[in-house]
Amino acid sequence: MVPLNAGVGDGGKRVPKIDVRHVARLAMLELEDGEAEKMQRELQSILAHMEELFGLDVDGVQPSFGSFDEAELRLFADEVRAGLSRDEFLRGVPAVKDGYVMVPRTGQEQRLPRENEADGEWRARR
Amino acid sequence: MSGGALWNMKASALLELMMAGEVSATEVVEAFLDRISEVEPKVGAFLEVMRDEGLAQARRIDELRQSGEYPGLLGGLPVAVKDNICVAGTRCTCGSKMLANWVAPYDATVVKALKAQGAIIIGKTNMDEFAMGSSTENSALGLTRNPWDLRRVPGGSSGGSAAAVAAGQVPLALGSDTGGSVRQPAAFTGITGLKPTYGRVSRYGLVAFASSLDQIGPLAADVRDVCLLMDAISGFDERDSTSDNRPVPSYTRALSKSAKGLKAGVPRECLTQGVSRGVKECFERALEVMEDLGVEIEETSLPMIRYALDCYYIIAPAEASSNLSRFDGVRYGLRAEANGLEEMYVRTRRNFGPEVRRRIMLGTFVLSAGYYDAYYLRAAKVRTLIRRDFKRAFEEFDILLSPTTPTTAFLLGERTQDPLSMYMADVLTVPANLAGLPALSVPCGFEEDSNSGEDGDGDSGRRLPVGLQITGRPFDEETVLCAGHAFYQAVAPAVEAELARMRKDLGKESCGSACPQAQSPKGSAWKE
Repeated sequence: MVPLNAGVGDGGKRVPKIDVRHVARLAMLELEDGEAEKMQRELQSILAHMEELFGLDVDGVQPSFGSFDEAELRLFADEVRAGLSRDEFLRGVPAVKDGYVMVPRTGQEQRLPRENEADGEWRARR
Repeated sequence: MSGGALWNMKASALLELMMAGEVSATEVVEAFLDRISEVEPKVGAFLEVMRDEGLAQARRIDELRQSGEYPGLLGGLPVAVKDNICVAGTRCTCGSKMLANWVAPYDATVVKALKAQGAIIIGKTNMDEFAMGSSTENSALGLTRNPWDLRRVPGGSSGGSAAAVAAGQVPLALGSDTGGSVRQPAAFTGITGLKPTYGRVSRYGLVAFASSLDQIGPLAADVRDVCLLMDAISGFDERDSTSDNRPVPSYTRALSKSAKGLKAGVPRECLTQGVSRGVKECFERALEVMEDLGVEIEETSLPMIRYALDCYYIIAPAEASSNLSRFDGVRYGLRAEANGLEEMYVRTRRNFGPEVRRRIMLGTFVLSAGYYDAYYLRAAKVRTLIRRDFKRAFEEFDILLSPTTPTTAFLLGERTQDPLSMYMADVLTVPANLAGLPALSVPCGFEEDSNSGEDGDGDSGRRLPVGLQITGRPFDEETVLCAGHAFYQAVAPAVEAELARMRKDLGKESCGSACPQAQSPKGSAWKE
């Protein structure tokens, strides 16, 4: 686990070291042999480029989560409307049975031989 | 009929010919399909060409016209659609292995609008996987080349749409623009592209990349043709909760207004962000043209836009990491065999390409516990500062001018190993997405001092196109388009002469050693 706020709470002089395996697990991605190191390098260089942002004073600034003001947002009427039919929707689903989406059985996962550390960790977490 | 081959004509001219009964929609569609057959092995703009459907649709339009009925604003005009926009019954791959065989169950609202106006959708175009990239090299399904120089990228992520229009394969195309993906390829291929205001055009049926930034936009040979598409696709859509319901003007009609007296600001920050000498010179000449048109030009400053690229590469990946979590093998596209659910997710997601993985990782990181405030929240605050800068500028100016891109089209492979250098291609276009503003790229000339790579054989001679970016106030596409049109009229003779020459050469020249894979452009573009 990455220490909270490592290297970024101090005005951002240091670029935090990304724990790529942890992040990959969060993102449900598996890093292949050699990919982790490359990913680490690339992400670190991107973060290093972003360091300039930490020189900006943003105290008291409201964040923008879109390009419009929240006052412009509105809710639609809560009405039932026609959408895709069940058949139309299910046509693109990889596995279907009796009108339901099929997925592998949960709770009885078999452990495969460990390929690498990341593999082992995301299974062990369960 | 005069003026040469139909495929070499603009949409507006084709429409006039069809309305006058001089050519049929079938003839028009056939001409473009023939042109696609002729140059597609070199350009590689399409992932799918809908030949039979296109011709059937053209016959229907001809029947309508013959029976005296109005076939719609775009009656009989072929349109290409970027492959992240749903066309019912057609594959929508997003340039990804993940969706390589996924068939869209419905029409995107823009596609429905195009069809309602008589447009004929004749193909789906190549793109960077899930629209993440600036060169179309991140497509898992094919390689697209810049028709001006087949050794170069067409830009991205709407590179297929831009290359198709530039090559004369189609007169009109749709793309999507999250950080410049319509404007940057338009600039690289010497055509016109617009990113409308966020909310102006419905995003329903566009596969989401970064929802607070994505916007569908038109690409065409000139501003008038862009307006034709805008008139068809703009407006409120109850299926898109971010769609705006203010009235939509006729953009085509807005073109008759004069640009005289408009106030244009030139942000000085835009000329320091790695802009090449050739692009800068071309931009300065464009400013002179604007002044001759009676546009008042003044230098200004938007100090916060130098942070826009960093801000964008936090916000866009953050949103992408969330949007792309849906590709887990359960409901769409590819599913990997696995013994358990979680294993299925992970194995399925192996099919994302390197850039998509990189952005999912970056986005997951900036949203993760301990880093959310430091990165994502900070970027969201910087976004407020950028929006304020624009707001302030637009109190004084009607439009802002800058080059669209810092350089002209780069060589294939030149930036694939260095993500940051690829990201730099978006440095001048991302501010408009962060602020939700309309921005147009219009051809403004050619780089005189083109450092056209290390070819050695000296036959690369062709100068590369440069784009002028015109940014406007929210929902003021009219002023942007009007200024763009006035400007383009002034440079059109020179630009179009080059375009015609390039298109002619493209039809005859064999690209030889310059493009070794030219006969099989559908090979995997990324192999790492």
